[in-house]
Amino acid sequence: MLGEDGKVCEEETAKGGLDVEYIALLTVVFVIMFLAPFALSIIYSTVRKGSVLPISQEKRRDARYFGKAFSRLIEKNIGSVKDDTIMLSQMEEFIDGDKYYDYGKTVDKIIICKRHDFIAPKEVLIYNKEIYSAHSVDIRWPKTRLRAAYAKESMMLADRTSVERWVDARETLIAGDECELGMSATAGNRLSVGYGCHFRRLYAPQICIGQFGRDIGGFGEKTVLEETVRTNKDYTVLDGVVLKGDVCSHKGVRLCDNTVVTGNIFAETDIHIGKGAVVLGNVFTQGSVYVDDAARIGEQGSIVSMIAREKIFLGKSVCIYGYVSCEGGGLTTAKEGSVWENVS
Amino acid sequence: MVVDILKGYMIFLIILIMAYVVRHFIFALNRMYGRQRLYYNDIISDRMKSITVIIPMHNEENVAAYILDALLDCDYDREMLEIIPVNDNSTDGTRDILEAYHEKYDFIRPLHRQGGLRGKPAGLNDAMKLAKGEIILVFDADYRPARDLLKQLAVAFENPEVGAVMGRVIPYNADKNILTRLINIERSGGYQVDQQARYNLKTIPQYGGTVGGFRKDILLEEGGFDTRVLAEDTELTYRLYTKGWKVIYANSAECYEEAPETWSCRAKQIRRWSRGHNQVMFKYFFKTIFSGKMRFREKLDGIFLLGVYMVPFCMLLGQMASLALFFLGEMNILSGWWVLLFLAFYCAVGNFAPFFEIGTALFLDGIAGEIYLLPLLLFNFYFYMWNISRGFIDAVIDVITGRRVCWVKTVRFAKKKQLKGD
Repeated sequence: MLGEDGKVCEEETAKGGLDVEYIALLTVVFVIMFLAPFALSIIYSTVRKGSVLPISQEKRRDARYFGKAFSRLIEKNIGSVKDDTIMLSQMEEFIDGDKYYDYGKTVDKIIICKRHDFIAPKEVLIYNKEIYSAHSVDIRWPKTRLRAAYAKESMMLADRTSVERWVDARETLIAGDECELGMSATAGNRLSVGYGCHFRRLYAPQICIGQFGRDIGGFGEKTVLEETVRTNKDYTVLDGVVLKGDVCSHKGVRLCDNTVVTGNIFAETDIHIGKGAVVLGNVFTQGSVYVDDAARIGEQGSIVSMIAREKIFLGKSVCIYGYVSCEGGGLTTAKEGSVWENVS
Repeated sequence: MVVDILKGYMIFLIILIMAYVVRHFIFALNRMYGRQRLYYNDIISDRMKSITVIIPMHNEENVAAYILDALLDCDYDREMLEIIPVNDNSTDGTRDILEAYHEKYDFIRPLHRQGGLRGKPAGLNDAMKLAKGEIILVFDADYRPARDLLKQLAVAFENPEVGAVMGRVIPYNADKNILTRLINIERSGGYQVDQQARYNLKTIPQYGGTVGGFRKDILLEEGGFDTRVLAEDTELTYRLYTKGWKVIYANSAECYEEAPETWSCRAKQIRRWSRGHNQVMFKYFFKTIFSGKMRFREKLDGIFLLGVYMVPFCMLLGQMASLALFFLGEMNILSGWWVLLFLAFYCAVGNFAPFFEIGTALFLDGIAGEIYLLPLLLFNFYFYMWNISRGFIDAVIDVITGRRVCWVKTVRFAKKKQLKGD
């Protein structure tokens, strides 16, 4: 509208012009902001080709993987060594353990023994590289630290030996008291673990804590229940009961002393296995497992597993036939101790 | 009156979408920061159960040899293994391929179906009657299992409450085109975050009908799969839960599959999934609510899960309603709520998993660069909304008319593999 003096009209026109500019600017910003993500996506999809998520098609679960893979690598390349170097993942210098060598206190090269056992010299305290022996490995001096070791026959670790990665023996592995057993301690035949040892994974057809586990006879006069238990509550198997079946609880499971479960046990919280109790199947929990003295998991001639999301505590003379694994770390009881000291 | 209904519907939709967004936020946060439950793949045991692998096949000459060779490479004890490829009325060379394998390996026992009811559920029912294994594992014909996959899946049944197990599916043709790339990132969100979070939170991981397995006895006692339902996998999930069994998810049990490479093929697949899933929703909605065997969290998530293929249809109606309200000049009500709607809509972009869930999954999978593709999911969103809505309407008509559904096979894109020794 025109004013009498025409001023209002000018002001309105000026204001209207501003509005148009403002709206145009907003529109441009909106279009840019709206389209920018799509433009970015299209540019990215053109520049970078899509990738297929990798799945290892050849993957197989093998508890002794570390030892087997390492020994395969050594044995494959041992024929083509040159100037005491061997091709592993890269060219590595190694020490021929069959010859006399002045090791010093710290060893920074791989040790390979083809003809003789490897017997740790007294002066060496730290092995920063792997040890391979086509026969046995004997770490006989306490407080030795080693990265990893493989023995084609047997292996002995003295008290308070500390393993950084893994140890594997094709036959028997014996670890003394208060050892740190690294990521994995495995054996093809038998594994004996001393008191007060820390571990993450153990594997052998027979694992004994401290000494040989006892062998159980028949079920004798015990009360026998034939049922599979599935419950949302804590579940307890009372003293001396034989439960022929599996147990699955959404809370915890407790086996009292001298009980027998012939199947598997699955729980969401802790599992307590009493003195002399026997579980013939697998034990799995999202919590921790406490295994009291002389309990047995599995049976001779078969392989089972004990897996815990948190920790595993093993008492004296416990015997496990197969595989033990815990994300939170495991501990064997001290010589004078009890697994129950660890129950919070 | 009409305006009030439209406004009421919009409020309902806002609340519905917000509920789903919250659910998926919980899943994403759980995967990023929550306590992760272990799967049983660490169990090493020589007490494994006998298994039968069933592979439904209809004109699968292009892919049959791939999966059979992959299964033959698996490290499961052959004394405990049986493979039944179900040749369901194939008219191509599938039969010859299966017979060639049967001649070489006696534990591969093809079942040739001629006539009778067509489709995967009917084929599975016939194969289950012949199966010797205690556990049935199912693979689609285009899958390529890794060597330890059978063990990883079968070990779940050591737990006596597990009725079914589901592994993870990964497209091997993710690099083929933009569609397969988008499917790949959706799959990542769906499995790496959604399924694993549901396993962590002990709600309802879903049995997906392939790369998974179930106890044969449970199904046979119940008369097998319902042949009138297209989504026999979802139906089995709810059947198990309402009977007190559990389904668990094995994130490490990964298997390659072929993703659809054309939009038309994907549209048919999505429509079929939607139709089947919504059939299950109509069948199990009240059974889930009133089940005495399910815990509260399972029921709650179960209801959400039943509704996932109904929500896009609700959103389609919502968009129509908002247009109507706009032209009626009624958009000035509940202005605060509208902001929430837009926020929720934004968060819910991406249909099978919202963008933040997919982003989390891509980060966990180590392919964070693919996050740049997330905006393109907006196109998928509308594409899915349309096709899922069509599937929803199909399901409604199925329920009303009681008509029998017809199985439509997904087109394969792989080149035919030569048999070993050819």
